[in-house]
Amino acid sequence: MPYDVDDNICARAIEWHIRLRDGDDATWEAFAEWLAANERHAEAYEAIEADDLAIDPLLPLVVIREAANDQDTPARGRWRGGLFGGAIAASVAAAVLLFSSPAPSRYHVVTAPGERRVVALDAATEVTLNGATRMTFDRKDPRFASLASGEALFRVGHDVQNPFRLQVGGNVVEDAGTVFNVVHERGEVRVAVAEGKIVYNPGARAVSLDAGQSLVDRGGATRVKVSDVPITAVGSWKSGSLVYAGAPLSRVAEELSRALGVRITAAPSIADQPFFGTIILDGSGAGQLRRLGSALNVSVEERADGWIMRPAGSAAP
Amino acid sequence: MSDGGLVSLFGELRPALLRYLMARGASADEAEDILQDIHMKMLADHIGPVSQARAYLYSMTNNHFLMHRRTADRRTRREEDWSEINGGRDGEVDERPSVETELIAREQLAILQRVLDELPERSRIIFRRFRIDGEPQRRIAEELGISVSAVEKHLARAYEAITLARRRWDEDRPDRRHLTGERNRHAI
Repeated sequence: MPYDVDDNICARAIEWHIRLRDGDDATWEAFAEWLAANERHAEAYEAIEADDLAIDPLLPLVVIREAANDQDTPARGRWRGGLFGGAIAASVAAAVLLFSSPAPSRYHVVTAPGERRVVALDAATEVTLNGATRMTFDRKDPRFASLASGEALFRVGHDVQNPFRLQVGGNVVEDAGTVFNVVHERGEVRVAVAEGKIVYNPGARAVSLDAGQSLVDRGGATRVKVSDVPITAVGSWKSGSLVYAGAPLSRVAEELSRALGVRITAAPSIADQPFFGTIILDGSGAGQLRRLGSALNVSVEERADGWIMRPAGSAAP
Repeated sequence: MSDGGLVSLFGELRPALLRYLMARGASADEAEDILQDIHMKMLADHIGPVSQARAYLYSMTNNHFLMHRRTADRRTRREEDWSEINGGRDGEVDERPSVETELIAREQLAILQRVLDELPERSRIIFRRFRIDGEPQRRIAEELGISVSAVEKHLARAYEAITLARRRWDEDRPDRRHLTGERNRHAI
C-alpha cells in the first residue's frame, strides 16, 4: 500500500482531489503535470482517490452532527440509535432532522428502505419520497429542494416568476409546470418527465426535457444522455408498478430494494442484462421476489443478508 | 459538428491523455485500450457541446481508468476466490457478502462517524455540503461568506482525517479486506 509517501505529498494529493471534482481545463492540465512529475505523486493520489471511493457506500449512513442541534436530542438520539442498530439491516424509521446552520430553515427528510413519504411544500407542490431517500427542504423557501440520494416524484405548481429548483448533487432541475421523477445514486442522476417540461442545469449547458423524455447524467466524465420514456412509467413506483424498457437488472434490483425494503442485488454476470416489462408490486413484500424470478428470467435466492438475482437455472436446490 | 469538435479535440489530446494514464500507473496496452473505449463511446453517444472540453476529456479518461481497474480487480478477485473455495459448481463464485464483510462495514461506519464527529463543526458541515450533497465549492463559499480557498482548507482537513483513520484501520488489520475490497489489489 502506498502509505509510505511523505505527508507533504499526501497533502498535495488531497488538494488536487478536492479541486478536480469541479476542475476546469487549467486544473486538469496542471494536475496531469504534477502527476507525471514523480511516481510518488501518483501513488499518493491513488490512495486518496481510493479512500474517497471507499467511503461512498458509508456516507448515506453517517450522521453529520451540527452543534446548534444538540439540544434536540430526542429525535437525534432515536435517529442515531436507529442508524447504528439497523441501517444496514434496513430497518430505520423515517427521521426528520432539523439543522440550524447555515440556513436555520432547512430540514432533512429521510425515508427507510420500503418506506414512502409525502411532503407538501405548498398548496400545489408535493414531493413523494421513495424508500431509502435523503432530501433537504427549506421551511422559508418552498421552491427549494435537494435530493442527496434516492428517488422522488415531484408534482410542482408552476410559477414563472419563481420556478421550482431541485438540487441534485452539483446539478439543478428547474421546472416549468411539471410532474417529474428524479433518481440520484452513486453519482448518477436520472430525470424523467411525465407532464410539462423541465430544464436540467439552466445556463450554458442546459438540457430541456419534455413530457415523455428522460435523461441520464453519469457525472463529470460522460455527457447527459436523453431518451424517450413512456409517460405512464414515470413515477409509477408510487402506485406500485415498476415499468422497464431495457433497464439493466442491476437497476431493477435497486428499485425493488427501495420499494420492498429488503436488500436485493444482481450477480455481476447478469447485472447488465436488460429487462423489458412491468412489475406490479402485490403488497406481499419480499415474498413476491421468489415469484418474480421467472418474469425476470433469473433465479432469486434469499441469503443471510438479503436477496440475490442469479442466472436462471443456477439456483441451489 | 454536432459534438462541438469534441472528437477531434480528443484526437489532439490523445498523446497527453496517454501520458496521463501511464502516469496513473496504466501499462501502455491498458492505456491504449482505455482510450479506444473512450473513442468508441464518444462516437456512439450523442454528446452536446461541452464547456471546459479538455477538463471533460481528462475526467472521462480518469473515470474510464477507474472502471477498467475495477473490472480487472474483480476478475483477479474472482480467480483468487475460486482457487480458495475450490468446491463450487462450474467455477461459479459465491457473490454473497459474508458476515465478516458486514461486520467490517459496520466497523468502518463507526470509524468514519467518529472521524467526522471529531472534526471542527464548520469543516464537518462543509464536508457534508461538498461530498454528500454535492454542492460546488464556489457556492458553499458564497453562502458561508468565506473564500474558496478557505472552503478547500476545511475539506482538506476532513479528507486528511479520513485517510488517517483508514490508514490506522489497515495497519491494525493487515489481513482484512476493505469493504470495497477493490483497492490496491493490482500490481503497480
